[in-house]
Amino acid sequence: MRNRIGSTLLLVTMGVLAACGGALQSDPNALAIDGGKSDAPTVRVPEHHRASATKCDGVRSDWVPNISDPGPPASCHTHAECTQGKNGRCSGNVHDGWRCNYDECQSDTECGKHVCECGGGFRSDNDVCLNEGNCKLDAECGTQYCSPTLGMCGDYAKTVGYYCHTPKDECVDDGDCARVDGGVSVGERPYCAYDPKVSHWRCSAAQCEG
Amino acid sequence: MSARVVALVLLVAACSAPPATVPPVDEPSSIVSYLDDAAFRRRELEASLVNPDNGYSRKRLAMYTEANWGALPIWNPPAVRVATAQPATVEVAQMRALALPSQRTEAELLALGREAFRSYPSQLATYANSGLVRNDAASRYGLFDGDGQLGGFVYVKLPDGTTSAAVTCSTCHSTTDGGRWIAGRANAAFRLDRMTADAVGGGPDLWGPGRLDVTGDGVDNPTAITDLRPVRFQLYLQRAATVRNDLVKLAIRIETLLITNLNESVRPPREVAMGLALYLRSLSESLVEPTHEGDGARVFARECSGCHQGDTLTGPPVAFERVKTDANILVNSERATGGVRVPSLRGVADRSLLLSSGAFATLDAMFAENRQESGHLFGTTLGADERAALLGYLKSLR
Repeated sequence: MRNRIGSTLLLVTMGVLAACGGALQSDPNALAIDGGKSDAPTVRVPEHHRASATKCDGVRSDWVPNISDPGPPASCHTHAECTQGKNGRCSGNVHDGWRCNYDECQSDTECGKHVCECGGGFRSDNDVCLNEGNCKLDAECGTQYCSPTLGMCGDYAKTVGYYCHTPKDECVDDGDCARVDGGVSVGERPYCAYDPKVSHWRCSAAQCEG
Repeated sequence: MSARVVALVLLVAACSAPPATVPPVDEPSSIVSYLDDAAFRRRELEASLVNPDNGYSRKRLAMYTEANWGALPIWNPPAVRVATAQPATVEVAQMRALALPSQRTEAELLALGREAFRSYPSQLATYANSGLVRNDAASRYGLFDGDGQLGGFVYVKLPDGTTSAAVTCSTCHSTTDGGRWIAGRANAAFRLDRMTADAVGGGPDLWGPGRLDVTGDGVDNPTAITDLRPVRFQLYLQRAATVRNDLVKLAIRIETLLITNLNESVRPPREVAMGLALYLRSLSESLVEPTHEGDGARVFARECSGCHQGDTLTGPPVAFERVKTDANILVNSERATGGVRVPSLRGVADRSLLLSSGAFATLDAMFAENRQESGHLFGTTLGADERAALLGYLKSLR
């Protein structure tokens, strides 16, 4: 299974300094100081969080598929064939095959109680409604932040939902997890994710079943 | 049961009026040791790992201690099976945690394992919350109707009061045949790849039916879901013969599997892991014993029994070079040992995906003359009569 590409040097440094075994809100090593939530000066600002709703621009890659025949499974060969939805594109690659996909949304209002994730399509760049989470915006999280998370299968899929950070969090960003289990398992790159089983963010290395 | 508890019970019993009765201790000592003795578990883990240097082993050697995985909170949440008739209905009032047996006899643990196989949430599946309620869920994701339970899924209650779908062992490792639910047999139709993709807007079918990528090794190397019915016969577990097998080692394999499936944030009750091990080992009783008479058996003895030996039809691992199939799974994965597990052929007639990658859907395809796929070429150069005899024999192994 493919893994998330690594973190920045800054995040690694943060990971070394930030303990992952306890709540970061009270961690004296917490590096960043909140600039937007004045009543919570010790809450570290996540690298990724949703301060405001964004409207997707609807711009998709104009990359032209190069589909060989015979080749991988292909349910389309050109963008022009993708007419069953909005902003259709024939996308894929020689490994995954080719299929039409479409934008499901432009804004959160089209996705019920969950987020419209711009470019969040599975191994594509279409805009999709997510199907889980407990927030859309930071404002819904009190003194905490609303951040995107990977799901049970790690980076097999991209962001699966947005969840509020909590005082019990064991990590804020992927960099906090760089040293937790790092290198224990081949190719394993732990990431910081929301874990519904314990209702807070913690480091994970899960990659689907196993 | 701990020595302290036994002593206390004996002491209380000795001081009571009725004649003393020893508490039921009809469980094998290894079961008790697994449940109560951390040092025993650690020794068994170390003894189970064939190659301590591969990623699978390194992870467990680092984490299977009382201070690490042993200190995780125990997870036994209220759960209810997803009803085939009303998959969108979450019956919160009917959610129950598994009842852990008080005496922990082998019979009690076996019964617990039987229930856990279909009801213990082995991995949270938030991706399935939207998929299970689709009208075409059964056909789109290859979900069976197991006596009213849709695809072996359950709904679980989470600490924040919400609920979520979760898979159980039976989601992947059971199926139906003519309406009859069959425990342990691989669900060769299951589309986990499609279900996870649909949760984020849909996408390509990456693995194909009945296949999962179970490794975090940076390579897309899905492997066919395993038929668990003959697990009792297997000398080794996993395709690459990563783990030695007996009751306790299987329980540890299951316990650590559940821990990693549960994101290493919680662990299962050890009674559940042992119960599942006992239950899985009991599934071999459903498989017919092979005969050693007839033309097919004779061809099998000549062509196959070097690896698939005796009545168990399995044997020690063989070198990859002998089978030369599925290198990404057997050689290049984080579970590699240099050897390849010899799968027991008991029940092979009922398997839909053969070889580690599931390259063949049928025995006929696997032994077809001039087949294109390479690897495991044994029996493919037989004459028509002998091929037919061999296929007839293999198809008798139900």
